[in-house]
Amino acid sequence: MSENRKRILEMLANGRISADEAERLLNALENGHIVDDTPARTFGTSKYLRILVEREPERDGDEQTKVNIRVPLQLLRAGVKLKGLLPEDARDQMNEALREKGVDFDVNQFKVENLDEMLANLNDLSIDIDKKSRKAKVRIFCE
Amino acid sequence: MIPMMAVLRVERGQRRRVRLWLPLFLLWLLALPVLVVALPVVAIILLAYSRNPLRVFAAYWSVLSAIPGSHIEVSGRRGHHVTMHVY
Repeated sequence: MSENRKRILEMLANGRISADEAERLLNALENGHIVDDTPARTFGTSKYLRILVEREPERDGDEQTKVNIRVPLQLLRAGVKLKGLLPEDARDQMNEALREKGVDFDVNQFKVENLDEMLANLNDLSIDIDKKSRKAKVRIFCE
Repeated sequence: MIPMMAVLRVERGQRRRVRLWLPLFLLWLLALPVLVVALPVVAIILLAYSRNPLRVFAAYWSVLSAIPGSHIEVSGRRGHHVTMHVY
């Protein structure tokens, strides 16, 4: 299902548009009056890393908490390159801090190629978090 | 291209909406004379610490020029909505 079609159906489900309006929009989409901007989820053509977080409201009547972050992939690559300029002590401290948090990761070994490989295999990662009866959904993908 | 403009939008419910256009290019214009003076000094300091100044400047430039296109959007309770986009 394309992103636009999904968006229209979501608006209909949320009651933001009527069934007639949804039908008109879907027809317009099918006839090409609305350009389908469904992002190509292939890493080769991707320019951005998108992180979407949706958290259920704490109380009835509250709105859903949403976070939508778009980071240029070029910025991630530049950040990895910047790592090479960090003093060795600082990198060791980062490794130590990560290890304390239970993440066995060596910053010294991480290269731009590793980042590209990681993003190429990312596709559309979806994580469901269930904390204290409040559910949250995290989606990470390239677009 | 380095960031030239940032747009900050803050919404509180239906009524209170604030949209701020932040002209970052003015910041670069103001920073330019300072950078011209500071860069040789920084380069000397980097050389003293056995770092290649060109490599360091290139790395920072690549970070700076990759920022445009960044987008952060947060919607919270009671209709609070904050959006930041860098052009």
